[in-house]
Amino acid sequence: MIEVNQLVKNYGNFRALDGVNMNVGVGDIYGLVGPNGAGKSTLIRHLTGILKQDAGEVFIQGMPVYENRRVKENMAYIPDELFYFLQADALEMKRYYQGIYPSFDEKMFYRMQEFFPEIDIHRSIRRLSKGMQKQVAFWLAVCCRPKLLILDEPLDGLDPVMRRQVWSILMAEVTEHGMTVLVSSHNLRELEDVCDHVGIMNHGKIIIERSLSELQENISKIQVACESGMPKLPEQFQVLHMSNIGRVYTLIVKGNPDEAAAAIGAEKGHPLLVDVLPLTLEEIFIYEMGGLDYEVKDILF
Amino acid sequence: MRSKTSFFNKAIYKKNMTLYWPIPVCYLLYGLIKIPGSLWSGLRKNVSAGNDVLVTLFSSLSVEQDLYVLAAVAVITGMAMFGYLFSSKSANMIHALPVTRTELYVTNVISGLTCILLPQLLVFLVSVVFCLLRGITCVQYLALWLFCVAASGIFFYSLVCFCVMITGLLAALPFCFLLLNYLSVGVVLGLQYVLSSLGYGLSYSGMDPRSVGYILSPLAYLTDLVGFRVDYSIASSGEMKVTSFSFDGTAMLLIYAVAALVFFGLAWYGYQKRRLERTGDLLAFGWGRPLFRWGFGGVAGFFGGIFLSNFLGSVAVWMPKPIVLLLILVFGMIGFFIADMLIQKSFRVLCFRRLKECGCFVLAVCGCFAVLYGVGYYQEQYIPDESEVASAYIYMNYPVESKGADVKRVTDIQREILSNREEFQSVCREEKNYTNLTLTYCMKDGSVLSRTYQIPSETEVSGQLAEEVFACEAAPDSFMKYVVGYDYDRITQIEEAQVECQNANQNYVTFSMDEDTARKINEAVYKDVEEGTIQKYNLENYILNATGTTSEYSYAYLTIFFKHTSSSWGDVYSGYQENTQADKGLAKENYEPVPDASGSIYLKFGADCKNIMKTLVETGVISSEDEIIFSSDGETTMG
Repeated sequence: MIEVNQLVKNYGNFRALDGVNMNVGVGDIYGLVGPNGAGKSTLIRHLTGILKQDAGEVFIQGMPVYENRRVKENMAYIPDELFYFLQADALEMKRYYQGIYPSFDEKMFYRMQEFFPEIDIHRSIRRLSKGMQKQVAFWLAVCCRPKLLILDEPLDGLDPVMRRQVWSILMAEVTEHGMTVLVSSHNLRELEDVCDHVGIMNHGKIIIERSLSELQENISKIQVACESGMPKLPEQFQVLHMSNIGRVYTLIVKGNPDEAAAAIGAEKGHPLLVDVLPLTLEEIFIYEMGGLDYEVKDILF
Repeated sequence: MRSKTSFFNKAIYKKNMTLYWPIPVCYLLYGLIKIPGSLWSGLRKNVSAGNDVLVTLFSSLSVEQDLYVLAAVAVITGMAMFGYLFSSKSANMIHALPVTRTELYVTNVISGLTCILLPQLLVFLVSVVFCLLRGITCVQYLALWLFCVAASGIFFYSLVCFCVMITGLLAALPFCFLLLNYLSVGVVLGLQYVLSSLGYGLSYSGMDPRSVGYILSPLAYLTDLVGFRVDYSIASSGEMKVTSFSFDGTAMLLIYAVAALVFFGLAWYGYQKRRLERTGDLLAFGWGRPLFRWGFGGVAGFFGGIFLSNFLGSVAVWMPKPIVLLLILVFGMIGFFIADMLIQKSFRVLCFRRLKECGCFVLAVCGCFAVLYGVGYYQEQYIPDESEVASAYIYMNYPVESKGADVKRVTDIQREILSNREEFQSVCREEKNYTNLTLTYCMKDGSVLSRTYQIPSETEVSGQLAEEVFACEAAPDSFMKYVVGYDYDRITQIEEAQVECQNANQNYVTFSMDEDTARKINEAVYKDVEEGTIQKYNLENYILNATGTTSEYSYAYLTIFFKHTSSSWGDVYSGYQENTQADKGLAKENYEPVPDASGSIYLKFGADCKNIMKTLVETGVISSEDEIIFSSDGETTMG
């Protein structure tokens, strides 16, 4: 669905995107994560055809997206900062989207009204709360029947019930109509529940792009209780992080977890205990970024 | 379903019209009040007073005010239609939708033109219906009005669209529009301002509206040179009649309409190249940044530096040219960095690269100063060849016209002034006691050359000059034109006359004279003018006397009322203005006096006016010359 090759964007002397490569398959729910200033929003603005790249290519459904109405008719975008016309209510916005998107489903709009019971469709959207404005954005975007939905910090401001409601609507669309979703968020716990693919961005590049299961299989937390000394691993395993409480060591290891556990177990002195634990997406992100000099620093006073 | 090649989007158009309907409605209300409203009100008042219906119609159709309103409406409409381009939130949202920039642009242009043209059309239709109902059949003038405002509206809106595309800040849009509208006038006035400070006698005359460059200041050109020209006649009953009527500027309106297409095209191209990441920046394109820094810095430098040096020169101490240059450079650099702060939206603009650029800017300013100084010196020393001059004026008390061989006396005076330039300037700087003497040449090619010199008062150097100027002003023909008017020999009837003076008891008295006596007094005035005895009571010689009193003071005033038949009657001031002012021939309303018009002569006379005094005694107005006291003791000043 999305193919990005060597995408470069400069803002004056600052390079915001530095040769980004990205691939998102049809029907994927792709989580785009990265630290602040990594270039996620800039990348999304290229994917939505807002910005023109300085170099590289951006294809959606095999076609360039910039100034391409045919491609954009099949995609919807919910930005982090929403914009609605002055004094426009949900009905007026619906009419506007209806005129813009050929595939806009009016019946669906009225059907979905039951999912957003708090929203008065005759009330100016700018007078609604931030969360309600987000709900209207989802409502309109889903009614456009997009093949690709791009979300930038989408759930910011929504209450937990509405978050679930929104995700359930999106998951239903993905399941029933094969919609592709690209979502950029800092809420990794939430992404972990819904995403099947993840791309981690840093310094204007996608440094890791894998399915979530692959990512989780390739990195693990191994707890080792040693009688004496420290656990050691062969060179093919990269230890991202190691900490200890007494004689119990916790290692974050890149590589096959079972092979790593076996290697530790085969060490001289035989550790008393070797246990492999799965990592959350948030932990993976923190440890991966830690290897790139982006880590939680100990506070020293 | 939309066509794949459609450049118009109905949904966006509908949204624009739903959202911004107050703009066309307000403009419509203005138009309805301006044309049918004022026509209705004017017809009620004027026609009952006996005035021509056309007088009311043409006063309603005057387009100058309409054009200013139109320019404002165009700017507001542009700000509304393209407002989304000035905020990243809205720009991102709109450009993520499945609409191309061309589609957005075309739709917004059509929406804007609807807001401008639809009210104009409605006003036209309502006015036509109103006129026909009132029995006014000359509705073709309304069609001309519609053509004028519609063509101007299209042009203004195209210019607004162009401005939208070169700026990224909504607040900068009206300034950009004004700048482009007055660019050529501004540049010329700016150069004149600088040159008038660098060269002696160079005056600040404004831009000739008939020059080609004036076309590049569209709002100024349209308001000054386009519209209805109406000639009225005023009957003795006071009733006004339209004698002739025309519409000026049709060809220029067509040219501006073509220029509108160019601006629409440039704006479209600008939109295609516009980088949305620059939203919120003062300038939407990178190439505009150095242009803005240098332009802003240059203007700030020359205006700031010269204004301060002129100000200090007038209140404290005269600034030599190197100090003026230094002030220009200081103001220029300040302007340069202020411009950069506006561009960068930050106070931290000092960096090596910018300092290097500023160094180049300083060199360029020095170069410009040297060039302007040279041009100023050349213009200062320039005396036109007499064979190229159609007429010349010396203007101290009043404009004295010289033609043919007499032009030489003006060039001689200019030569004399230039030969004493340094002395005059140094005395003026120290004494601050000077008068302005203006020499103006109307060249045969239609151009006007004017110099205004500061001549120090009461100095030895200026004594001879004072005599020469006074001799020109006191020449009988010139003096008669001054006190009576051009065509003073076409007076058909002297009606009456009055003398106001102090009697021997120092009381003010008025003597009224009948037609016969007045005629004799009039003849006596002519004789005294010929003999040169009355001029000194009526002309002030500022060069000889800085306080500006006349050579001879007198309390005695003579007024003569007359009638004339000249249709081109005018005083020396209007004649001077007509020949020398840049806006000559632009009056959109000319009043043509009917034959048998009235006029009056008002002048002072004194004891030396032998012919007047003799006539007053002979006709019995006064019994003896001693009956009039001309001045108090000590008030007879200059000889």
